[in-house]
Amino acid sequence: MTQLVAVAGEPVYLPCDIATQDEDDAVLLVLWYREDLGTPIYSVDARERDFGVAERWSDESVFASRAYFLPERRPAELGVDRVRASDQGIYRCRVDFKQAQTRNSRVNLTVIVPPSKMVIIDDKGDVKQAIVGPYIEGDTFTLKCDVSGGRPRPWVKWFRDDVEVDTPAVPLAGGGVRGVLHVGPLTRADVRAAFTCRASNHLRAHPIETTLTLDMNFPPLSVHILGSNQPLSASRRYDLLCQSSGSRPPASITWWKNGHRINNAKETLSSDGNTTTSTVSLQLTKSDAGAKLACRASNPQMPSVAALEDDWLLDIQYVPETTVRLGTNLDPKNIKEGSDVYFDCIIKAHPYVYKVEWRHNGKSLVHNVGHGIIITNQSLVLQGVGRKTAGNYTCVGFNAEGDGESKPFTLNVLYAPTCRSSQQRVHGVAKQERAHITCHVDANPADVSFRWTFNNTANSNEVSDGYVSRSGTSSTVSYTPRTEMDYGTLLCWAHNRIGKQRVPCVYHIIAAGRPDQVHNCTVVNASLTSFGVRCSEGFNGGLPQSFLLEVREIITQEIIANVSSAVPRFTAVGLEPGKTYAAAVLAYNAKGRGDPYPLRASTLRPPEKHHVHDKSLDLPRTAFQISGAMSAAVGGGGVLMVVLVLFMVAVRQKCAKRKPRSAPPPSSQPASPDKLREKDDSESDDRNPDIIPSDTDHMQIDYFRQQQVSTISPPPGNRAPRGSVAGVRGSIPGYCPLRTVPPAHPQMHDTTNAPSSIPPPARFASGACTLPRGAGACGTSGAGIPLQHLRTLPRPLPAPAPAPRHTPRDTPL
Amino acid sequence: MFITFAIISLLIKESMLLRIVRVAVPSYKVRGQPAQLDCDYELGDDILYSVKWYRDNEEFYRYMPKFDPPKHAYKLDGIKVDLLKSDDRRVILHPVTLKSTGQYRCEVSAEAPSFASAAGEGRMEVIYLPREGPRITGNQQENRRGDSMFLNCTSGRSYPAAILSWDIDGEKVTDPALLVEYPPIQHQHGLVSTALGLRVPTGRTMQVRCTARVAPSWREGSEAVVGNSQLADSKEAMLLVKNSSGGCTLNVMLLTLSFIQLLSSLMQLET
Repeated sequence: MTQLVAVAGEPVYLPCDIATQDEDDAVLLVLWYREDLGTPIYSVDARERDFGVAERWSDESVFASRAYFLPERRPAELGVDRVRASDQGIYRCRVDFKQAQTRNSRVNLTVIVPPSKMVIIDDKGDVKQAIVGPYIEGDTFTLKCDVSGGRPRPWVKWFRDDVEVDTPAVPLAGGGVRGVLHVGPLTRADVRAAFTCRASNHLRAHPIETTLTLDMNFPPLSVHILGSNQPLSASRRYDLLCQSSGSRPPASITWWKNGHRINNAKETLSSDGNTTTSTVSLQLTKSDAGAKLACRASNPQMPSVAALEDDWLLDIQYVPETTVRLGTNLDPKNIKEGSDVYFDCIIKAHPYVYKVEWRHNGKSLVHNVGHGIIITNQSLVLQGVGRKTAGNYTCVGFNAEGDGESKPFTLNVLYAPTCRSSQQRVHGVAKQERAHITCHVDANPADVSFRWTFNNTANSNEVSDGYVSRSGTSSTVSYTPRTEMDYGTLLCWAHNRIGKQRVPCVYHIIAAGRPDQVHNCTVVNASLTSFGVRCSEGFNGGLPQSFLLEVREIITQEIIANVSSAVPRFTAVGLEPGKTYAAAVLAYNAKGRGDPYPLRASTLRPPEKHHVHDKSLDLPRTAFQISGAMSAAVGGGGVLMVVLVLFMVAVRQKCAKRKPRSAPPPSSQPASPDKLREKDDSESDDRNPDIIPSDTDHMQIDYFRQQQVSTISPPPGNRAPRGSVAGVRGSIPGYCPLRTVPPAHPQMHDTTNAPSSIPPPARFASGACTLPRGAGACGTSGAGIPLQHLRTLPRPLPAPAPAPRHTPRDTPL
Repeated sequence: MFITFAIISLLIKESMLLRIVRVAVPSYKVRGQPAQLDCDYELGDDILYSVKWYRDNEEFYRYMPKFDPPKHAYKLDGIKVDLLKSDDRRVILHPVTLKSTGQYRCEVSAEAPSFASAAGEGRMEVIYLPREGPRITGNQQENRRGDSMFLNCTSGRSYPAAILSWDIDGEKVTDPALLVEYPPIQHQHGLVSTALGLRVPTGRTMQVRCTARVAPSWREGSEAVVGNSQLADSKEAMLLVKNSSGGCTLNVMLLTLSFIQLLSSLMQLET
């Protein structure tokens, strides 16, 4: 008997040999029987026709259309599709031949029916489908895999991560089988283990299986505050991190400060889900020092497990907090000038201060016993305080967190009144004129009272209170001189609770008059259309004075400009270039005008009118006019030239030192004008074409500058010194235009300086004209040069010749 | 109404089914005799397509009405069909030989379209009774030693094999220590003889008998055995053993021979 095994649902082929032994023989009939049935279940009847077109018949209640005979196979087969469980049995194939013996063959068909249902149940009796758990470490549990259906009875196996686990299988009532899997005690490593229950009943039958993944809950393993136990700065915001790992599901982290929950934490989870990081942003204060900062991690799914905690005792560092305290036995309201004062600096700081500084009105104090400032540790002693010592005192503590300055302590030093400096001491008062003489005193406290006395050569009288008015620390006397005897001295005495004014304030009452003449006038800042004048003021005649500058055309005496000012400093503008004007400065007050101070002043000549012999002198100017934009380049060139000149001057200086005061060799002359010119071009608008021998001496430079101011204006050919009629006190010495005698300088120096090194004052005394033209050129000048004119001249001329180290940058043009 | 009809039709169908009424196969036949195998069936409403006889699943006779001739026999070893006497309900084998033994099955099939089939079967054994009785032979050597005597009993040729047993003074020897078994001896035509040895304890005079039985009595459920004395056969040989202290075997032998001669008139005693 042929044994056949088929899996339900698959096709099966039942063999039946229909081959004939003899050529002449033929198959007449093929009948398939199932042993339990009398009638065939399938037949092929070829008795009256060719076998190829034999009539086939299939029992509708058995195979029906699922069966088909395959005569061409060797052996022939009866195919049956979609085998059913009910198809199992013994089949007989009977083949009737025309001649040969009937052939019977039998097939035992076994139909495998795979198990139909699998149910996995946990200890609680719950049906599990994909996930089992969550369990915790140490748990044990049992999974029952019940398989029902299937023929023959299936086997059930458990696999853990695809490795078979030796588990017992128990037959169940009703034909099922149960596979029992015991798991545990569980460890962390067991998480996500895959448990597969697989059931089958034949190698060819597809097994059914269910896989469960083990879910577990773990408490956190660790919790750490990152970077803990380091000192923190107060008043700084910190982002503190706390990490916990090992919890499943991820840990929940809370922050606590001294047992109080901190709420603004943010949690992030690592990509593997194992580590939770919580960030809390904290601003700590000094009062948090010693507080316990705690980070707690717990598994939200395991509330019964105590949270893990990491602690941090906070060490808070802060900027020193300082207070200035006056010495305890001192009354801050009653510190008198001359007493000793001491302060303590009370410091709270962590870390402690490494330095303490004392400041008075913001300026730090230095230990100086000589000045009565004694600084020791945290205290400050001021010996013999005065009114200047008063003010705000602070102490500053320094530590790594910064410097903490205390609130200021205002030291108030009391002193008796003293006369305030810089007040009008002389009052010019006309007879019968009422004057108001004010006495200002300094006093602390300012609550003062005044006493006035009048002294003249004859007697001393107390001034009646009726003439006195007081305003704060000032007192004013209304005073009207009626006779000559009323001119004299007023004395003002003040006192406060500290004491009496030791020295009175003294006010001289004199008869008022016109102001005195100004003196020391000089012309400054001359330009093409303007010049300035500065003078020193004279006595104001006992009254407030003002000043006036008048500028007149020399010939017509027409007033060109009229400038008044509270101080004797003027600028006359709107003048014609290259012209000399007569100017006069005078002071005036309520009593009248003082004497005018005459002087001559010239504006600069325009460049076109200059007699320029050296063409190269004009080039830079031209270039300068071509393009303003080139000025930068020119400036740059100028800088280069400055460097060059500096270098050459340095060289020359060496020479000059070797032979000071001696005339430079002629060969050295040609270089000088160039240098001068370069300086002029680059640093001023001065178009002074005069070639001036240079010298390294500063004095010399000043001299040239002055020369330029005072000698520019005269027109060419006008070599004669100009007489001046404007001078109040005498004639003004003539001017000696330098440029008319360019080559004269060496000679001039030779002639003037060769005899001996004349002291500068002597040279000045000899007259300004000695400079340009030689000894005889300006003979008209004499000793009568007014003082103010002398001031316009250079002071010393120690050495002639060498080119100026640099041109007069300050030249006021 | 419908149910009634269904039941009726089921009954009708039941009654129309082809069925085997009886298949009669003789359980035992002595070699050389004829044997008749009967196959009684009811066709019901069916038309006969074929009657097929198989021995051990091999067809040897068929009757198919549509064929000409309808009877056909196939030559099988030990099968010789008497076609003239055979028909659609019986088949005659003549003569039966020892090779005719086997499972005989009659399969009746109806014509198309149902081709319903029914079958019945029976087993037939063919036997050969021994023509000779059992023979006892002795071993002189052992006699001389004097402690015991050894005897062999050999059956005549038969089929199936004869079963031997020893009696001492009418009591059957069952002690396996005294019996010595031998494999059966095959002879021509499938005949078999058997032998059984016996250790005879010495020291006394005794009557020793060997019985050879050939009977299909080991076959159960065969009614043919019962009452058919023709198919059972039992033959025996007897021997008197006389004990003498001097030990004269010859005397013993003579006595034995004569004793057998006397007692076994039915048996052929060979010396």
